[in-house]
Amino acid sequence: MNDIITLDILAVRIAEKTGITTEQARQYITLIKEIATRRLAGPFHTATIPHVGTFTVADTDNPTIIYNPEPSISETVNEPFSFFEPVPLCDDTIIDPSVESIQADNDSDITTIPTTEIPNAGDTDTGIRKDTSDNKPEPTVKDPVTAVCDIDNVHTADVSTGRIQTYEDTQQSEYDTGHTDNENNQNQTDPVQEVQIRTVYIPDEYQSDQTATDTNYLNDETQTEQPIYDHPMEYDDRHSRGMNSIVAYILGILTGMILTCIAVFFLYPPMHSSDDDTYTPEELETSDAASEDLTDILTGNDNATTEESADIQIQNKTRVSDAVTDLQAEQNKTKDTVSNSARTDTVGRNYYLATMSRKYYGRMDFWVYIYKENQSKLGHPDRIPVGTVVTIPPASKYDINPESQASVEQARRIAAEIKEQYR
Amino acid sequence: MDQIPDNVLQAFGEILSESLRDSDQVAIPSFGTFAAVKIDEHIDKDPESGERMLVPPSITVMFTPALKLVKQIKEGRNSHE
Repeated sequence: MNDIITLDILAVRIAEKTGITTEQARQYITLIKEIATRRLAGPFHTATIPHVGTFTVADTDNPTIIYNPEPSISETVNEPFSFFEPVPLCDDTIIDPSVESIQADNDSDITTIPTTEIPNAGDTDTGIRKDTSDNKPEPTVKDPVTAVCDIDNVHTADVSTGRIQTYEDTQQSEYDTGHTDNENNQNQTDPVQEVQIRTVYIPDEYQSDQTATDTNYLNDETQTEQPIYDHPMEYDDRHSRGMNSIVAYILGILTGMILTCIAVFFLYPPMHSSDDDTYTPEELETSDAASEDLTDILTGNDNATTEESADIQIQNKTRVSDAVTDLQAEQNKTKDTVSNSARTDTVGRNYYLATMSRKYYGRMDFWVYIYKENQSKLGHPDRIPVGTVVTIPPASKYDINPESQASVEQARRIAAEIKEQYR
Repeated sequence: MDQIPDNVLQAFGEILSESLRDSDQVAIPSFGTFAAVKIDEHIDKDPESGERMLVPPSITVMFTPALKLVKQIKEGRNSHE
């Protein structure tokens, strides 16, 4: 294959076939050559060699010899493609015009021997010019099996790589339609009229701009069909998920802040005003301290100096006895009802004038009298610093009576006046 | 060609066809070279009906004359003129 049969080899083969000697065969070949050359150079410019073919000079100015081989030689040489027949193309078959250029480029596959002049061309000149170029392909004949044209498919170019462009043919065909697309299969409900798919392979390098009908393409590397990737919803899903996460973060932060405020409010309540009657367990004193005050009252170890205070003291004794009874019954009760002795106390944390009032007078409303007693060294009643020592006036001094509604109202009026003063 | 036996010519033709079928080239010095050439499939128009046809690939025989033969043809043309 791809060998060059020289004169010697040809003579040997002829000698083997005919039974003559090699030298005789060589002589016969030389004689054939001379006769043909003489006839081509003659006036008729044609030479016929039996069982070989006819040689004709086409152009006398630039001589071109046209060789028409014998039919036997043509049939033998074209045996691999002998069963091929021309196939008519349908009118709607679209052929890429660049395919013609492919064919033009494929002319290099045709074995042509250039008739260039070579110096010192002698008897050994056979017209063959050894090609030293690596690009020129060797003359080969493709395997007829691989080169067979599929009757159902129309190939216009090399099918190794390229794009598949399908065209529907409404001709009836006994073959399967070959549809692989589910959408097309749904349309194939009419058994009478079948659709034959014709595929045209177009190489990548000659692809023109894609048409609107071309929705699938072959991956050059994997040769698998890939649908056009189009998922607009995916972007919306991502966007919505991002927004949802941001909203969740904000809600979580707000919830935490609200819970923290609630916890702080309950753990650290605001400072009590003077009118607040509520009290916390921290403001309650021990029963021992309360009892101590009561004993001072009963024994008269108070600081009362006036007669009025003495009368009040007698009146209070009965109430105190009752209070003592109650206090003895309730061991955790630390509230002091009335004190007729001026005493001092220190403002502490969560221990304000109102707390002292409840402790010494039985009600928180009578803080105003403590404030009035120490007004010279106190400023705003709600902003008394911790550690301030205040004097607790006796109840008799301001006519303090926790059970008297008039006394309570009087104290509240005084409180309003004080607050009005500091508004 | 009457001087050459017919069996020699027939053998020559057979060897030529076998060689070309095997994609070999037959080179005769000072005459030319016979080679098998493949023509790819192409689209052509039927001259009768004008219908486009897809012509299948085929293998033909191509003869390339030697330079000496071409010179002799030219010389013969000049001599005849």
